[in-house]
Amino acid sequence: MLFNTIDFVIFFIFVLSLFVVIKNRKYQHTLLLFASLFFFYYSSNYLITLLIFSTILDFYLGKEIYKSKTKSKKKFLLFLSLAGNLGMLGFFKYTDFAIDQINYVLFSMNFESSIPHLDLILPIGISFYTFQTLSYTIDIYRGNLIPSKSLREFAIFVAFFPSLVAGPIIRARDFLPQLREKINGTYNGKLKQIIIQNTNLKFGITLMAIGFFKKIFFADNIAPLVNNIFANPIGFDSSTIFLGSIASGIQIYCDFSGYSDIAIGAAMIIGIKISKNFNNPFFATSPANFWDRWHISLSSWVRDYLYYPLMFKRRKSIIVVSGTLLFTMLVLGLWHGSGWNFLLFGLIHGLVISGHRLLAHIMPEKIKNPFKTKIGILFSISITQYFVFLAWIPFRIDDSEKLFYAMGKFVFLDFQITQLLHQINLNLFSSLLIILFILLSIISFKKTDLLFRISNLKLRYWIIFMIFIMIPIFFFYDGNPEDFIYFRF
Amino acid sequence: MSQELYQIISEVMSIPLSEINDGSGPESIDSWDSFKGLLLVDELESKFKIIFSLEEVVDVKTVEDIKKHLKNHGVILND
Repeated sequence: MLFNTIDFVIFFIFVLSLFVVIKNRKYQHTLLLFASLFFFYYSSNYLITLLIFSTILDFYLGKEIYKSKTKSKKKFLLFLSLAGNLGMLGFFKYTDFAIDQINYVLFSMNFESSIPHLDLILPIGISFYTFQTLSYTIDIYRGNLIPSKSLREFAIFVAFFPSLVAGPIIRARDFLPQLREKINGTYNGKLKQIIIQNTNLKFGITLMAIGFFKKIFFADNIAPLVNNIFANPIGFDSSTIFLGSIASGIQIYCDFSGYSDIAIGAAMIIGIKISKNFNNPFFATSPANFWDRWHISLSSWVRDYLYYPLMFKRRKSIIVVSGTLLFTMLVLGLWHGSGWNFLLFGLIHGLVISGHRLLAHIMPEKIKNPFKTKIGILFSISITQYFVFLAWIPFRIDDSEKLFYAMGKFVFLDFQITQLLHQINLNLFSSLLIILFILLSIISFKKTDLLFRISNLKLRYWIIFMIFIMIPIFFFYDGNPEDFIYFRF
Repeated sequence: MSQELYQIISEVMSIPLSEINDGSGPESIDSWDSFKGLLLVDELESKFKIIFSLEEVVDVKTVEDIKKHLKNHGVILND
């Protein structure tokens, strides 16, 4: 079920209505669980069994890890959790990719037969919920989390519908306490009922509306420009490739951060707080800073469960740090999809981040001091974004010939402004949206509390704002919603 | 000593001392990224002559958490 469909709106209103009617928190939780499972079943059908498998596996392994007295037993149980989840993820997501590589090797060794593809369907959300349940067992193993006593509670954590199919990847230690805590001022001692608070409702609706606005108004209307340029970039000059890459980056951002906003807003209405997933990534001042601002729930997951464990004890060695950074970013690239283009996406980020870290190690003062001025900050943002937008090219194009042509034009400059003007003319509305997006981003960067200000407006002004933002959403909603890009991952 | 901890954080994160309190953390301090987080670990280890474990480092979400782990290492922070 896509967020940007009438189905979801009806589903969400129906669930909220039942949520209000039910006067007991325990039953509200049961409702939340069944609503989440229905939400998943609606689009995934029998693949819901994988979600249930992952839930049951990690619920019981988590308990056993916690109870185990010896380190070796804990390790073994954690291994089972890792093998179960990563095995499932690997099988569904990477098998055909692996078969391709084996066939390529067989072909180059003159073998005539090849291994056929399994043509498996990629289960929606598998990359997200497996990481979510893994963080649960790893945190218990590390002693940072007490396992959930209730399977229902844990199942809500895994299947929570707002964040189930495309994140944000939530952590049990942030989520589970919210199911248990008393809610100040709204906790009825007798009924133990979760009441939807007005402030949460207003904030949640505002955030959801902004999410829909980003997706339907910006992402879906910038998409034609990206398709026009990147469907076949061969022959385009550097400035047109730049335009395509910038448009592509903005489209992906509006698409995915829009999805995250809707998810966080929907959760907030129910009274569950989920941390932000994006923080003005286009204002990042260094390659590492970009990943502290982009898809934060994934990058912090990779940092805590892959990068830190690999390098923490040997972090004084710059070679270890840089090498681990490169490896981590390759894994992060491959997480996005089973293709060489995603590996290249990770490689570019990995090389840039580890290169920057090496420079900062070799000449720390030269790296730091000149960039503290306003011009320095602007320069560091520009350099960072140059590499970020370069990396969006392999993220968008999977055909190697087209990909390397576009990347070549991005690096070896060759400007023919007439081509650029022609593309702008062809996609005037998309181009204007890019300018509007940049202006709104600058305002949002400067006014960090803008969202709170809007959701705290007096009711009449807030309604005016909502009408203002809903008009373009309804105007551009054509009944055939575009998929969210991150659904594919 | 709390002030001493705030001072270290202020220097590592390059922010004024007045912006730091027990609730501060990577979510509220913009410059507190993963790189600065590790620099902070190094500074605290060398200042208080302790060694943090990986489990402690990934557990930190706020300054309050740092205080908790410092206390576990026997570092007394008076307010």
